[in-house]
Amino acid sequence: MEYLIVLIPMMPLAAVFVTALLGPRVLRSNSHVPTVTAAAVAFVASLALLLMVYWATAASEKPFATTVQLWNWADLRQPELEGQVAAPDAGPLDLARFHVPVTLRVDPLTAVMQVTVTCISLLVSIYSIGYMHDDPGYWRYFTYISLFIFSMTMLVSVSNFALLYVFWEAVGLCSYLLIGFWYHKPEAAAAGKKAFLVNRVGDFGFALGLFLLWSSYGTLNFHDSVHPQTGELISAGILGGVRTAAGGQGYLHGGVAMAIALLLFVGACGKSAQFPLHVWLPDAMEGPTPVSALIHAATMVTAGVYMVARCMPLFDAAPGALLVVGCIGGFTALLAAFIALTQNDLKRILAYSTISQLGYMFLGLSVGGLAGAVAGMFHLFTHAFFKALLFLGAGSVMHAMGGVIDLQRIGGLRRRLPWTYATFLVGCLALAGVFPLAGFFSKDEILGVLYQQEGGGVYRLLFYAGLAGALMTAFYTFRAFFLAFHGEELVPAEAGRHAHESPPVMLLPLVILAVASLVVGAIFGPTGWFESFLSKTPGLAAVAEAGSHAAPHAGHDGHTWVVAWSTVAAVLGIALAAILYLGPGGLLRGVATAARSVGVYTLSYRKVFIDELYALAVVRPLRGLAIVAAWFDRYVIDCLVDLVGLLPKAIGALLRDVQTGFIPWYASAMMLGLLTLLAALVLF
Amino acid sequence: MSTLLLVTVFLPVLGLPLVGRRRESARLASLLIVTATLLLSGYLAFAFPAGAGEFAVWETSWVGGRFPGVDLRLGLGLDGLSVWIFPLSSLLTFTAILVSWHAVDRGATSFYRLLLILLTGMLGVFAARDVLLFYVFFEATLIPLFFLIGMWGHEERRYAAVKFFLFTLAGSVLTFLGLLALAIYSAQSQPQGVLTFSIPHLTENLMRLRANGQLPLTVQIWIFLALFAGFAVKVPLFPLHTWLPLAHVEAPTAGSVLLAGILLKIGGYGFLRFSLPMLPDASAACAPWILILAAVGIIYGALTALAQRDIKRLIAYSSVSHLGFCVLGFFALNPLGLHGGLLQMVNHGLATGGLFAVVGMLYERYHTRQIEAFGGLARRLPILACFMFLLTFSSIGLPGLNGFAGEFLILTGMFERAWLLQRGELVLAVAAVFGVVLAAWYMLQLVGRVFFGELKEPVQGGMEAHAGLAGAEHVTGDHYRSQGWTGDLTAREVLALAPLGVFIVWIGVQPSFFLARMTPTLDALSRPATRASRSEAGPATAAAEAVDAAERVANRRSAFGRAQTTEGDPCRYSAGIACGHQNPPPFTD
Repeated sequence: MEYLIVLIPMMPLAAVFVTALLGPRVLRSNSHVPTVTAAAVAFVASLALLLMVYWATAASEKPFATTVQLWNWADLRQPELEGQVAAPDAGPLDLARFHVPVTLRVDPLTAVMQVTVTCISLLVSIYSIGYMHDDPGYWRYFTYISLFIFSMTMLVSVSNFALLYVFWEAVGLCSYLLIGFWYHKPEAAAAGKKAFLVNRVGDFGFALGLFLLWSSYGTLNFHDSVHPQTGELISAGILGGVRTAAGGQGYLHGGVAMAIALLLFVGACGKSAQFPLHVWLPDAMEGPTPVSALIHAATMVTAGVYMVARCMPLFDAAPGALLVVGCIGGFTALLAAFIALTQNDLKRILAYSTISQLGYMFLGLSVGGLAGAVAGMFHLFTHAFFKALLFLGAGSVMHAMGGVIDLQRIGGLRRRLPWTYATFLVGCLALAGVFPLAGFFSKDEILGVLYQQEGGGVYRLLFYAGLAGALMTAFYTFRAFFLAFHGEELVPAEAGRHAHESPPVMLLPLVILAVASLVVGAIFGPTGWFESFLSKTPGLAAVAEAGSHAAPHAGHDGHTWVVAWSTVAAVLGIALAAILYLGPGGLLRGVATAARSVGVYTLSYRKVFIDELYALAVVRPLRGLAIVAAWFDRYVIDCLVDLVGLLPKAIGALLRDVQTGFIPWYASAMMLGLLTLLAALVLF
Repeated sequence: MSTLLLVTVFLPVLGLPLVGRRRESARLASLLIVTATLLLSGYLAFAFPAGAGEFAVWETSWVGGRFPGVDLRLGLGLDGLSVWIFPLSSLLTFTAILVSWHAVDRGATSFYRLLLILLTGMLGVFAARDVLLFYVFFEATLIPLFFLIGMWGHEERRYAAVKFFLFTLAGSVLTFLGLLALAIYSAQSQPQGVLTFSIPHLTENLMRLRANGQLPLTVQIWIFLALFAGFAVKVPLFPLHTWLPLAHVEAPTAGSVLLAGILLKIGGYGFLRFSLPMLPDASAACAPWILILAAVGIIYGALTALAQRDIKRLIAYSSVSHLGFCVLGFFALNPLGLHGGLLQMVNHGLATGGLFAVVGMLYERYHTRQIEAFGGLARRLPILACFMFLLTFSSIGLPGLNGFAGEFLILTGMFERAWLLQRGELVLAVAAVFGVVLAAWYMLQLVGRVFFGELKEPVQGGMEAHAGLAGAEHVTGDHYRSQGWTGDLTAREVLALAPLGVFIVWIGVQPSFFLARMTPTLDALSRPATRASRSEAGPATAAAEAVDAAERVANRRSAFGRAQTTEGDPCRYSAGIACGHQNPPPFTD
């Protein structure tokens, strides 16, 4: 097991070096070979790992985790702080040792993430062979993709907050490089920069959260450190067995706990594109479409969800923070769905849909405890398949249409692209949450736990927000679907001779993902397999035992009601889209005119003016301040310095008159001096 | 080893006669000498054993024999403070010579000779074990650089050189007075009142005085301020930084590389070598104010950088911001901050030194440094763009590269100090973290404008670009300057940058290797100041904390049933004992 967890990230890392060194000269159009091989090996290894973890957990009731330490990133002693306990009532630790080992962990949560990440990575790499085939930066593309796979697999398997931060930013780097892959396009370069900077703002909060964690818990490790020889406990990790076993006693409560949870969540907001830091994700669609599928839909953007699920004990200690997570998630789900209603760029619709679905995941997490973590993680898992499918489908359309993705310029493609059409339909149904596809089970699970959550009207309100979001989701998904594949055939001039179905190397991943979108929900959801497996993760096992939250499947009578309502929402949304976009044109025009007249349409189409607001309230004032600072530096501080520099000159000017050049004057001054000296000698 | 150190320090000066009159022979000879120095200093640094206090100490009497009351020595040695900056000086000089290969054509002999003198000065500053020797080497760095800027610089070189010289000199004179005051004070503690200038002896004597209560806080603060004047100018700390952008912009590439990479580090080094160990109470008392200056400098430097149009100016202001981080780390006065600050000095040398080298290469090709003159160069100069990106990401603290290791430790240390001692300082910690966000903004804006977007080349270079490209395969020597060469990096230029890249990645992936060699010295030197800063927080809190801690220890032992011990830990902390400062070598003459 230890070998596997090291092997999984090392394969793509090796591929990075091989592709970067041999790509431009030797491999050329075969530059995909290292990446695809590495992703395939990593995927097989992840599956093996998953099975091994499954057997290990199936055998016993106890949570399962094992770690392997590679080397020490930093190990500093603070003797002055020896004996000072940072967190009251917490496990045995102090601030005397700043120890950041490069440690990888294996537990159910990591195993699930590894399989998801490597599976999507493999499929997207295969798809990219066809999609990127004649790009001049072919080898560069696969180098970046390998770097991303390495970073992402490390992100989900490291066992330390500092290293989580390292790979958190490393995937951000890959995102930056891949969004700006076609760097000669100014929009692509700008979008890359925007993504990096908005993520940095999120990381600003994340870093502060880390510092607060360190200052109040005295460690950044997830796991407990034990002495290699004696087996004695050296320090209790933040998410380790000792601390989680102590239940509520192992964690701080009150303001500090709230601050830690919220600061970590700021980081999650940045990476997972939640309001108010969601603005980078739609722009990120400037990158190649397979990148959007892999990084900006299925894997990287879900890192925030993974992090919150991983840190569930910390969030559980601060119920107020969980409520904030829910409110932000619910608001983002609605906001993004609202914007998606009117967009014309197919990829942007999918991007807003991703933001919205990530909002759902946070809605699920906000319930807290094992139930919340499972709901969020399960939606992450199913979403990865159907959203990757949708993006790759959009890529297939783009490939055929010569890069055009504007829904006003394409239409009725179902005959020209039958495979894309069929698989895209599966993805749309899964996203809309139609029984028995993947999205149905996971969305249902989220709505279910929200509905059953005790703790006041807010959660009930969030439940209704989720339902409303489901309705909008179904509507915008099928709006896009009908516009692209139904109606009159409309092929732009850019398509040229390309306007045919994509090659098999691109269709194969589509078909595999479509099959997965059909079945993964039904296999893992109702059977409870996902939940029972994840509950063996140390941190989550503890919050399950704490039992302060309702069990998800406790009351099935309420659950039926939830299923009914969510199905109604989905069907209603699809029906509405069908009536408007397949029915008579007059109806659509009427609705559009009505929406325009009250300004709703513009509000949605212009993305609620959030980009403009940021430019006005953040970017411009800071730029202004920068210009003021530069001016101040040149004309105030530097002038003051020059003024001081003039001082000796000024004093010199005063004394210049003393040096007259007259010998009698010097002689008399000499005499005067001599007399003064003599007088001093006599007197003292 | 000690002889090796001596040879290393003076090798560049000994090699001066070899630097011939012709440009080709001059640069080749100086390159060979610097390579030899680099290999020797690298060998010394990597032979430095982890856990050692001092290494390769060489000492001989200088004046003491003839004048009984005075004990002046020539002493050189490496310790945890200098172990990485010492070889970095040689490494960056190596880079500086390679980037000057074609850029310097007139007065090449003097140019390379001055660089060699500068190298000995820099090596000496970091290896000196005696205050006077330190000061001599310090001035020996000043004068060559003055000439390098004043004679081989750009348009406003004279003004820049004079400003740089006067600024630094004014500060360093005050620093010298402060050092003299320290020596005189320490002489009081000796029975015969011997005036010693040996740094370890001084430190020890002053600590003895302090233990006896003979070193009152007021005296410490006055001397501290005198030392501070010179070091703060050198760092440079806001608002004493205005010489820096000017000097950087006007200096030739080699000058900028060494100024940013090494010479600015003397300020921080001075804080660690003199202020903190010799005047711990004053350091603790002044720390809050210095922290404010550092945090203001971080934000101010970053904002000012954001508004710059000249690439070199932008990087110069980013240095103001980055060195604010170093000072923030030092005066957080805890091991995390100190280690981070010292590591960050090395990191900044690698990243910013490298950035200036890359800008020099751009200037050599296009004869301009204006950001708006460029665009989309990643297509034209892919290898140069690669290095630029690596250095940029190092500079903005991307995890996995060296900048992150330093900044993370500094900020953790600063936050810990604020959280445990003085919650009001959290504002400074938050401001500093915000500085990291701004750093990403101005650097990515820079690389975005210069390397991304549509291809835009300055007219001067662009006109001849195609001619240059056509002859790319057989361009040799000076030939290419006349052709307006705008091709990608040559092997020589890659050789100048690649070693920096190696260390940028190595330090980022395994900082513990570099930190471990700093620890013993850093802990021994900073412990008094660290302690002082903790008692500064108020005796009441300290006592309360002690009681709390005892209770908590009792609680958690009962709660978890497993005693917390680190006694048997194999990597148990063992500094201090190993540090050479405790037992100064006997004086022999």
